[in-house]
Amino acid sequence: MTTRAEAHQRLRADVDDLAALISDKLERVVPRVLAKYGVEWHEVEPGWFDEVAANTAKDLEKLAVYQNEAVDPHKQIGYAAFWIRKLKPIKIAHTNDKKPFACVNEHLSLWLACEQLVSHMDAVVADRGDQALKLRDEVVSRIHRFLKDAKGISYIVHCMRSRTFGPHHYVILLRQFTVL
Amino acid sequence: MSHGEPVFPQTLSDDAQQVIRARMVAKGLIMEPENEGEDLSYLARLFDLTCSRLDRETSEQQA
Repeated sequence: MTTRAEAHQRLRADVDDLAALISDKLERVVPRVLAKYGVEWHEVEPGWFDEVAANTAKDLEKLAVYQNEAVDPHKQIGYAAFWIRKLKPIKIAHTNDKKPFACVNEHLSLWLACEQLVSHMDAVVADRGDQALKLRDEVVSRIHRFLKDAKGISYIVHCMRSRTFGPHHYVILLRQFTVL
Repeated sequence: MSHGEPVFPQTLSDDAQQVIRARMVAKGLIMEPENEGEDLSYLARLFDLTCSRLDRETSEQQA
């Protein structure tokens, strides 16, 4: 059995690789997510995805040391979303009708977290039969209802900008969709 | 007890940690038992799955 010190040493060596991997993936996934939610054009702060990825990797590494190197997927998603919200990698964005998109980073953090949770559900239920698929559909329908609730989203974005909104707020939010 | 002596031990035995953890789970203070989770490469996998699904959705909409 590995000690925490050994785990910490090994995970720390992996952190830079994980950060580079996350940064690369963010560059690919963010334009797709923004496009899906009606953001036609956006500009990224140079190097900001690297920063988001580095902080996410560091946080996850700290959690992994204390959890035998296994971290709840909700937490993995929540920490990445938090650092997007915190560091705001999108400099400017326009909607499909050429209007500036206000609070794009806050919205992006929610959209990306929700999309990743759907992917997590797809991965979890794969090859597990009809009952598992029904549970997945229930979770996805909860997520869709949440994303369509403009008033609710607006309030959460307000909380992100004006109050404390940490990684665990994202985790609690995501857990609400998957607790059946 | 002399001044400066810790009230609680600095480290708890594994058994004690398990008892505390079980109480916290029962009270809903923590959400999942320890050791249940995915390794850190899972996040990268979720990014890939999300990219593929969004690409698929876009092609279906265009078709």
